[in-house]
Amino acid sequence: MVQSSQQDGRLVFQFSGRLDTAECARITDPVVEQAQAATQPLVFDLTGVDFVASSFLRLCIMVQQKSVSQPLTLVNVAPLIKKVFKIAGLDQLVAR
Amino acid sequence: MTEPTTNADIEAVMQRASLAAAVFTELDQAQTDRIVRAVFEVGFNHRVRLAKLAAEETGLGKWQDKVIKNVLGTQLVYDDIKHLKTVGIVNEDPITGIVEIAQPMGPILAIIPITNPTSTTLFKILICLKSRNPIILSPSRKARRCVAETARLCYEAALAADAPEDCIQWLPDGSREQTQVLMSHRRLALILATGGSGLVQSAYSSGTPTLGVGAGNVPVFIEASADVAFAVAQIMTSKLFDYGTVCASEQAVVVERAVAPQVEAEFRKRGAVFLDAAGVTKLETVAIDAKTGQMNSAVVGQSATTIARLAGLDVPTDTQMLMAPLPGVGKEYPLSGEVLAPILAYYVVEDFDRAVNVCIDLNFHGGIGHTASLFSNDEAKIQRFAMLMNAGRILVNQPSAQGAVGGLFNMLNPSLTLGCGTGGKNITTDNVSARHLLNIQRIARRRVNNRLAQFDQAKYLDESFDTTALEQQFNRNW
Repeated sequence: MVQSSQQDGRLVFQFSGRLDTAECARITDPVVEQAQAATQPLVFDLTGVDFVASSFLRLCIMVQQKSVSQPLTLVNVAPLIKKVFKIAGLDQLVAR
Repeated sequence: MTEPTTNADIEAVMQRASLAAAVFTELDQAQTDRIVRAVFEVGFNHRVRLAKLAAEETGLGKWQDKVIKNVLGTQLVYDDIKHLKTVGIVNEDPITGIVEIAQPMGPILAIIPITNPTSTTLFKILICLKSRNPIILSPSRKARRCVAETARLCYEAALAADAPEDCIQWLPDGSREQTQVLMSHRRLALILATGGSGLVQSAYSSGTPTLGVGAGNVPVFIEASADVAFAVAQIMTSKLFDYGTVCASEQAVVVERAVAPQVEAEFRKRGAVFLDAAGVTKLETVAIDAKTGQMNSAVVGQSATTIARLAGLDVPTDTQMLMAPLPGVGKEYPLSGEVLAPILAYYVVEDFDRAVNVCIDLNFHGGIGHTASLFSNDEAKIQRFAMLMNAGRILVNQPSAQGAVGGLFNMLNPSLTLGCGTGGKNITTDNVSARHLLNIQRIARRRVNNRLAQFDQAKYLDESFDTTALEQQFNRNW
């Protein structure tokens, strides 16, 4: 589940629930397209996200690579998910 | 999966493995066990096809025996690990206040040998998944197809059970250089190195923690109290299993002179041929590479008649085993070293002590820390023999090839990676399993050392108090 909105000059994607392989297959293309077209900094808000599959990690890498001009930041990341990003070597995306 | 051919591809393999390792940390015990069950089932269901594939591709051993190896690598390993706690709290002691928590290690590189390719692949995949570690398989070049097929089946089953993507990867054509790059990759957590000494040495030199194996040179001593017919039958069963490709198979038979005639008669009855000195020389020429002093790959996993033909030996067509009586152990007696084929060195000595001395020589001639075998019904002698061997496994009254791997003839953990201790340059003498692939972290709750708390610690600063005085006061019973 994902919804996007403009907040304080940033494009915020609000994710929720379980971001497993099936869910990621559904949301990846729209998110990447929207992120690529964005002219503001990108934010992935993970409030309420309790599981991420490899596909979501790849989605983050893809958005980071394709939206070079607009930095991507992950906010409201639960400790379990933060650890996932740490082990995956993607923790630089997570806001401190 | 894509076939990595460059160092950049290796980097991609490691990135995928890192993502899988990260996602693995989110799985609980039930989810983990579901994945392991699914992979066990697919491996077990394909045990025959994969065994035939391995025999056909490598040209080693017998497919029927490789089926049994696959059964060990799936059913017996699964039975052994299925109830093992590998996620979260795995042990809790209310007295000490110590709580143990299992954490996965991260991506594991699994080196797969040519001698047991599909069984080792199945075994390593199961123990890695059970411990929530992604696995990257690097097979021997001569076993790439059967390993890739085994890995593919397991990966599909794992994915269907909701395992993390890329939790199983395999290198279809890993060159030595690529394997080196992978071995020393900063994100690799561990190497499970089952293979030749060169490869194991490379793994140790990589800087990545490694669970390796050592070479075997297994002596089997038929002690005077043994049931000789039983002992010989067991040794034949063991050494002929997959034509001797198991590194724990017997390499030399040592007998006391009193029972030697009976031992020889029993061996002959079962198709063994005792060679004369000229025959031993011929056999050495084909079985051992004169330059390296190591076994010649041409004889590994071949039948006795095939080897006899290569050596120009005239033996009956139903010959099962080639026996090489030797006067000593060492480089000057090439067949006193390890040969993974139906060849047995043979020693007759006067008494128990001399027999044990020969076994010690064999044990230290290329097989330190691996396995030693004994047939005896004298408990005192069994213990004496065991104390004097340097072997992770001392097997009593059982076939050593099937005994050392556990689960078939004893209660050792079923495993296709046999630790050989520091003698074999390994960190453990255990049969390696899932429990070795966990980082155990401990919660240590406050439990004050009351003796220290009640002791006047200023006394430590005063050198006039010697050990006896300090211990007396420290241990004083208030």
